[in-house]
Amino acid sequence: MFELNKSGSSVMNKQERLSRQQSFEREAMLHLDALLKAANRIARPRLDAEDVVQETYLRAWKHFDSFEAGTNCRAWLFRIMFNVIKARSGTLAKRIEIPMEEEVELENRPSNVLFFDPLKKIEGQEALSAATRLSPEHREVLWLVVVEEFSYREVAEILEAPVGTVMSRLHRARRELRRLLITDSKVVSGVRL
Amino acid sequence: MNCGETKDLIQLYLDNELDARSTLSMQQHLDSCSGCSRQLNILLLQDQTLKQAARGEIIDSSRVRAGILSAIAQETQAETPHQTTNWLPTHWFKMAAWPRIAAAAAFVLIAAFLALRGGWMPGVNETVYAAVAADHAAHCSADAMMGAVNDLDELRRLIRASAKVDALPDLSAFGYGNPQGRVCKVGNAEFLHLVYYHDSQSPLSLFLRHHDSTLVTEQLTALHSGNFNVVSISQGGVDLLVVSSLTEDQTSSITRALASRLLQ
Repeated sequence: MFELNKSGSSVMNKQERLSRQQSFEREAMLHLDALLKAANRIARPRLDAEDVVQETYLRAWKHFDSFEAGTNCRAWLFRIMFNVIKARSGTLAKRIEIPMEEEVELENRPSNVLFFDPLKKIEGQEALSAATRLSPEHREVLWLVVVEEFSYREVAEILEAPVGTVMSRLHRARRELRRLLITDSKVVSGVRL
Repeated sequence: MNCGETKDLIQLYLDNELDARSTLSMQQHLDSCSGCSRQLNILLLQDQTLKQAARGEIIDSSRVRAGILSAIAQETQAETPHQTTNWLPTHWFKMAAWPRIAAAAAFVLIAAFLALRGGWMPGVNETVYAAVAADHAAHCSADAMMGAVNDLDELRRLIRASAKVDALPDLSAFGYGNPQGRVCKVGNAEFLHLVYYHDSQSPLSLFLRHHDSTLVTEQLTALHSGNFNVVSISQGGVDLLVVSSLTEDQTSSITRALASRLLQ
């Protein structure tokens, strides 16, 4: 099915390329919103979330042949995205803490957020806002486990960190989130934490 | 299991990471210990609140989606083997002078004929027609419209903001309804993209924005792009493009009907 180009290397014919493109759109593009939401909350404000996600998808497209159909495409894409974030901002462990002024900016809606579902309780926005004030290490592990519902093993693979590290960061992230909610004196669904 | 062991394992229980035996022990302890049960409920509530808020957030991913698909399409195009990069065939250059002159004259005549009958329009920015057709194709699947706005009040707010129009276009006379919308970047300009659905036809897209550019002219313009007909008009200070799988005449009729209402 492969034809040879002038240099002798094999290239896909038009039909195969179309099929690959359709397969990519069906399997990978499905998770675009999830990746963009995560990037908005994790990569900002140091990095442009849309740039990060676009580069993630272009890398995924380049290596789509190495993706095994039927395996977890969402986890694969998240792993690529964290590699992009890591490459752009240095090693995850050496990230610089965000100055307080930028933390305030983080509380504002990312530019591509159209609106929040009005049926969702306002307290949810306070939890989101508090979560974005966590340190990057805590924020990313909390997002991957709580929002994306990845298993510890999957998160460990995505972040290229030991499972024990994931668990301890997660524990601290939850405790810190709770502390922020208490400090802010917010009430979550009628229960004061 | 006692309270100390529960405290150590409560996070694993919360995240479904405990094995069946430990899960059962944990449940038995939680049933009999109000203190540990309360701790679990607080953690559960915190997680649920965060998860629901994050998932309830509606974002506009259209710009990134269009950028990714466009980059992939360009790459795929570049990879196509044996593709002709010269727009003139190579044997053109081997021809004698007089047949080349005759062919060029014929080309000019054909171009003029096409321009007069509206098949090819010099001066019309065809990229925006191709871009709206691509955006229509990208956003008309149920999956692609997930997360789009379908609340009518919110859509009215969006159309006021994008096109300074107070009412949502009504296509019920043509059998289309249930509009969903999102703001999309097309041809370097932001449009409100409304998708309307029909019981037996493919979805139809309207692209609207307040007129402030030369992307769309006041003259009704129809172009065929991919599998779609794209008809544009600028009326009442609004740029409107209609994309559908209907015939050019049908798409033009819908565009005219919408344009006449824009002038009211």
